[in-house]
Amino acid sequence: MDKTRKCRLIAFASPKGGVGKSTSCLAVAGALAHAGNKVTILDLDLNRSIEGWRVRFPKVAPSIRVIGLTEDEFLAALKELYYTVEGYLLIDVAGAFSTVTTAAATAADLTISPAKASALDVIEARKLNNEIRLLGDKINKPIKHRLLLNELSGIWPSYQRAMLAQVGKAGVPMFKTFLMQRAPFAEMFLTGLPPHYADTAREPVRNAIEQLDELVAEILAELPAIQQPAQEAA
Amino acid sequence: MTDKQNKSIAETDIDFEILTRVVDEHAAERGVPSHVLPAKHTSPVKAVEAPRQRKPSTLKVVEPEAPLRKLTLELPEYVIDLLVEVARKQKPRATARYVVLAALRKYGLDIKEADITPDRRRSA
Repeated sequence: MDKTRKCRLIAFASPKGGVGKSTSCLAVAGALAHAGNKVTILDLDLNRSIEGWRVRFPKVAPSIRVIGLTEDEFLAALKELYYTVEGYLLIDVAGAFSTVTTAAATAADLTISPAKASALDVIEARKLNNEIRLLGDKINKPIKHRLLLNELSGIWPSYQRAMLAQVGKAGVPMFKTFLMQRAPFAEMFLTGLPPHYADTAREPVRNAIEQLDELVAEILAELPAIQQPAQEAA
Repeated sequence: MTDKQNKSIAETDIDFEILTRVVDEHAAERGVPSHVLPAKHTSPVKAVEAPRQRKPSTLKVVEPEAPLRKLTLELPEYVIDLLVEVARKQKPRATARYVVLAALRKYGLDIKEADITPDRRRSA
């Protein structure tokens, strides 16, 4: 097997369920695919939401390939795909604190922990951060872990402002871009359309795309550069 | 552009044999639950049981209290002193508010149990 890696690995992981992992994973995948990239998603979520999306909406964003995996299949599959997949390899990890979560988050070039404006979401992301930093030290790998605040309310209630003030103290670096609570995110699994594939005549779609583009720019800035194969570079 | 980006992607590659071993060892050391039983012949580490679920709280389930509204009354000073004295002598010690509500219930007013907590400061 050719051991030249041609993909960049991003894990969407949190020990807590319901934080927005599948939604943000598919939204980011849509943004990357829309920009002409090949995207493969490994769906480890127990609900298999993204695999279900792919089955129900096969014509939307056909460059997004989805592979549903059980936990015991995961590491063997990742080991193989790591050197064979091109573009972006995204992992939607099940919302549980387990060896698979820590392994995926440690292996990734970038681990994203989505969190809503909830202390529990942030506490669990911090717990994961502690574990993968320890693991990163053991295998001598720098860990890039970022908190992604999502489903924030546009009216900025006081609890949300107070929450955001506390997040900085949690010790997990955070993306500057937040994903607000917007219909295009909520509709994705209903219409099958990630925001970049939805009707841009709608203002909420345009706003969601704008936020996603800002987020993807931040994500790309954190990833290692893909090295072109020698024969192509020459 | 960060220093990390200037590195070749190969420099960030993972050795999966090492990752698997380290994750298993770390799981055993730190109590990270494994949902997957490691193969007996490849891993020296046993699967770790998920932490036991905490026992459910034994706290009494309290009915939600009715919304409160303020009522300002002027009473003779000695009546207030008597009220405070009666509240203090209750076992367990109660508030003046409790004494008033208990008296009103004896008077025939339909006051719910949840609204006459002896000491609201300790009711949580």
